[in-house]
Amino acid sequence: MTPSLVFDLLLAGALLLVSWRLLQASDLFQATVLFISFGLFLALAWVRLHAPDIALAEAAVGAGLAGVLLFGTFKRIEPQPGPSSQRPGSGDEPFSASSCRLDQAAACPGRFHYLVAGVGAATLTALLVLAVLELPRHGVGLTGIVAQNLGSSGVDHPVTAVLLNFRLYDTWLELGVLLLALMGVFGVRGAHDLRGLPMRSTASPVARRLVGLLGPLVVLVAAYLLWLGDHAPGGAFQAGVVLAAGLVLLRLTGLPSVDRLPRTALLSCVVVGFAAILLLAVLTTLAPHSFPLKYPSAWAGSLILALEAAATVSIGVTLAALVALVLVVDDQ
Amino acid sequence: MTLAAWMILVPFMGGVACLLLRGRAVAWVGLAASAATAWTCLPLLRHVWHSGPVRIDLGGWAAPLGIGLYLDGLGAMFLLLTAIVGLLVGVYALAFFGRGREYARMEPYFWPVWLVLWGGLNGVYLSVDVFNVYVLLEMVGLGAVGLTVLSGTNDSLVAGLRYLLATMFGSLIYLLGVALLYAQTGHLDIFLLADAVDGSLPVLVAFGLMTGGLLIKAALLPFHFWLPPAHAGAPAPVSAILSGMVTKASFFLLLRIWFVVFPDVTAPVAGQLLGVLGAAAVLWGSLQAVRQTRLKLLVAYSTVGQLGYLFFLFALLTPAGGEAWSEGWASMAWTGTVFHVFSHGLAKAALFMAAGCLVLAMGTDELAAMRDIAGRLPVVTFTLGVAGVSLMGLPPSVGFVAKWMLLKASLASGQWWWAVVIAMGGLLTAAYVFKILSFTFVPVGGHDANARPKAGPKAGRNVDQGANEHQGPKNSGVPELRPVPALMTLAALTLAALCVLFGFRAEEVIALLLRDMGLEPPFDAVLIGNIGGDRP
Repeated sequence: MTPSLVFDLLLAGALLLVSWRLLQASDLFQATVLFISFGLFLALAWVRLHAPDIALAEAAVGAGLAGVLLFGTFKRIEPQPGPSSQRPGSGDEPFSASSCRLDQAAACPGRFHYLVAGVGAATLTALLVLAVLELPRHGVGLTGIVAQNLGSSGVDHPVTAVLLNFRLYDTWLELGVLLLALMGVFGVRGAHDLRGLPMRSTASPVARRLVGLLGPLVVLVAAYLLWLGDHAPGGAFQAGVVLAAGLVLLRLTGLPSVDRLPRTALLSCVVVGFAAILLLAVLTTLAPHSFPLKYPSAWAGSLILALEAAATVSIGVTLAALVALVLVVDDQ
Repeated sequence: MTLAAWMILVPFMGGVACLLLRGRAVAWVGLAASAATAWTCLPLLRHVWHSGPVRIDLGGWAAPLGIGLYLDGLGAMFLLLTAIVGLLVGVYALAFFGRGREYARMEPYFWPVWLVLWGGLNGVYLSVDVFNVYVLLEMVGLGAVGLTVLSGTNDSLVAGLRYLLATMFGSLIYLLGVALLYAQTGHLDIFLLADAVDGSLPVLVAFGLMTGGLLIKAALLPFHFWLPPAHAGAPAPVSAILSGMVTKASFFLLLRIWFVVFPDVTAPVAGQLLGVLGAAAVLWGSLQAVRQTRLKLLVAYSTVGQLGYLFFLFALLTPAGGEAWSEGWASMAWTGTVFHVFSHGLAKAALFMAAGCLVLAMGTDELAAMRDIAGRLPVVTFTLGVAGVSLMGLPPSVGFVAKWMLLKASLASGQWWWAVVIAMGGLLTAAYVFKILSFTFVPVGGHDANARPKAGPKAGRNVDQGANEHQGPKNSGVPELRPVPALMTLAALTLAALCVLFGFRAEEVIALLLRDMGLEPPFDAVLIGNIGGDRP
């Protein structure tokens, strides 16, 4: 038994254990913490599967931003302790601060639901295991064809070539999905910008100073990740998430962030990634002897970098805006 | 032939423009983009009609590496339906959101989300890549949820969240299937997959997962739980979009998956299972619709029922593996099903739009509050009636052609039990359509002959009070109707009229649909109606 196999087994065991504990947790706070650790273990698993791109995204989005969103929601639905409860009817319950219990929710799943879900999941797992064991041993994917065409793609990293050239259409639509998510939240809120959000109470001078130092560093790391995508794991999604993390930090410490942007600036940042690829699509569809979304071969590399830069801004601002919208209650 | 790409680009451009604009300009630009999309659809349709299917390799990368856009007769039909309903919903929305502060608040969000959603829908009908389909499904699903929660009321948020969870779960199940399929075959393009799939376990599991995920999104019976509250709780133009168009996208993908990718591995029992679920949906959904007391919920449950008819196709065409294709009923089943998609898309959008007019006029959608609507809002009542006729399947509507073809196909194929369900579903549909219409003819003041003597006046007063609560204080008697913009009633009426007109133009539609499948159009079935099992 090699050490790496031992590590893999431990990792798999940890994933199962954490997810089991998560299902068992009756306390929302505990469940949230377990969910975040699940995301981190999952990121490690992606590293072991030689997919550092996905590991980065999983750690940043799955564990980081999703964790922040869950915490924000938790704070919002948590019963207010003490007599100074603003909402009538919620203060007289004998809850402690962290006893927002899943099993006391109104639409609580009963034993029957657990049984049905359990049987369904078990059947699906068994079928999947059997199916995966029957899969061809050596990959039959498109890796070979991607490698053959890498030379004419404008970049040197196969993942970036697939995401930004061969299957640019999918990436473009994903940016559209992100746009729709934010528009949906804006629609419920009834405002196109974040300036109406209450100002954060100013954090301690130490935190402010630290975040002030981190700010330029975040931009640097994001730019580096963006540039790295050309020939190594990295690219717009990873850079965008780092940017989002920086913007969230700024917002949390009361420094100017997405909430200071006026409507037009915010919307322009949000839409620029989607719109840039749309512009490319329109121009290439109009051009004679071209295909929609086909890069002019001489400019492929620089165009990809430009599109990725636009996408980074969109992803960063959109994610930061979503988080800022959820975390607003803390002040009230 | 890059016109197909414009079907996606035009609504996207409109969406981005609407997002950045302010005020009433949003609505006008949105409507212009809608008109441009619909207008782009026509030459595209003509091209497919004259020269057959279109294929574009995006980015210049051919199939295994890149993503293709592909349009055949079937996809063209769905594009056309979306274009017609989309344009008229746009006209309706222009008036609907332009009436007051509470509605104007939603306008700047409705248009960008709806136009991006429309581009996604068109993308679904053009896509031949199973992973690309997943991304498009996410786009359509999130867009639909965003529109559902547009009003921001508590009920709509709950319904929207439920919709979100159901649709995300469906997408993920579908994605799991795609991953298995790719690991087994190494392809994502549906035509390459069609050659590569075999009867191995991973392929079968992938087939089951992809079908299951799409069924959740298509709201077939056990998975219909999210549909009625979401469709009933949304603003009227959104309900029309969700019921008339969004539900059809998942069904279209089921057609592609079943009859392009996996025609050789589908077992007859799987087809029968979908048929049984469809039959249960027809009966249960229609029964629930009859039981409702609110107009919008009734129409939403009717969607659950009407979607059930679509799934008879799977039962009819899978019994003999791929052999059923050569039979005479195959073309009838296809025609009937696609006509039903058309009939339901047009009629249901018309119904929701007419219901929106009624809600606007009365301030409530309680059926019992609809007193003397027929006399005071004749055009809206007429729209309800005509759309209802198409849903019931009475001639000369397109709904009649659809149900007649499906009936004939099930009898000719020997699966007579579907014919029984179609007939019963038609009766139940008639029951709830007449339920709506009967309320519109009840005269004002509770002096109607149908009212029971002891409950009559009292019930009448209660109803009036109930209506007045929504209306604000009124002295007595008849709740006054608020004015309805003529544009709204006209848009709804046009859709209802199209239900009838398409019934007259059945031949062209059938020819366009069937030629790409290599099936012979059963013209005589429409014109003479004497087609039987003895067709040559």
